[in-house]
Amino acid sequence: MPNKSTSQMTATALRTDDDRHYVVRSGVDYQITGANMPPAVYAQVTLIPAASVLTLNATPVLVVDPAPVGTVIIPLRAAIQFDNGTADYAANTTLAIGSTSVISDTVKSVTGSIADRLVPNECFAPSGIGAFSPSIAEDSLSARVETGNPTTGDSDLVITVWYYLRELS
Amino acid sequence: MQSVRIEDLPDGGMYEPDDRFPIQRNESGVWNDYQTSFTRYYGDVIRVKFNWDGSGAMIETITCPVGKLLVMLMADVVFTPGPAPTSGLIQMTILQGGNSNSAIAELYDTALGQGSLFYLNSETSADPWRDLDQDIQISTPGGGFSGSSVVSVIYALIDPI
Repeated sequence: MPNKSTSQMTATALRTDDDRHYVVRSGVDYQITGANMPPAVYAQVTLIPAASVLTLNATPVLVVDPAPVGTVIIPLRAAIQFDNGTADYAANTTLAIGSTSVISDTVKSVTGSIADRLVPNECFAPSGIGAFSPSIAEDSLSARVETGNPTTGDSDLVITVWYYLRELS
Repeated sequence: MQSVRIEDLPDGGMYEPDDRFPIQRNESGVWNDYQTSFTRYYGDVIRVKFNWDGSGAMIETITCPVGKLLVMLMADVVFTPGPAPTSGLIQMTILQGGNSNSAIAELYDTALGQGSLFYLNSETSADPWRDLDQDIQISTPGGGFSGSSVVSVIYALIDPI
């Protein structure tokens, strides 16, 4: 069977821990598993219309699709950008991102502010014991506003979440 | 000539910065062959992993070479549940140089798989990282948890100015 060059192979969008990579170390051939390669950092962008922001406490919005079977999402950071609108959001302006099935005021992974529509905000892991909650395997991530819904404000939000996937052992 | 498949080769374990691997690049419609290194292709960082079976305390050390600064960039842990979860809390700690400040990851011993970043225990103390010659130590309290965990740490070594 003739050998295929890389460019002739079937493309795959998936990455698994059991993938094998060929490397040469000090002149010797080795294989390295996908689990032992640098992690791939993914990003997902979601637009949340202003009307949905005003209900974002009661109705969280999905911002990262469910993790594939046997994997868990590790969120690194997120960015909040504001689109259109003329008035800042008032009251309840802490936005949290966490696993959809468990997200609450106390269970979340990264948080940021939606108080100032003129300033893009970064969501990051809060400090302190109990401040950061683990992600749940095979779950998605959702964005939620803490405490209650914002009372006013009219900007759409563009949420970018950077994350990577880890396989359960 | 008998072809050798990748899975036939010896396991090289974790990648090393100077490992070489082939790539192909499309240049003006022609696929050309190249080799590159992890440092050049993925960046100048190192990744290590530690397994913890939950049966006893874990203490693992990342040694900082003398004269270097070891800077932790990111760390995470994945917990895979075992058959008899205890609902207990697993609190993992990362210390550098015995500093009172640290990073932590908290997982619950449940029937659900989980993943977590290590995040700062406190942001009120002095900078907890980037001390010359200082190792990183990852530890857990005693065992008794039903499940296994894999800790992944990504760090860089730099020369002090």
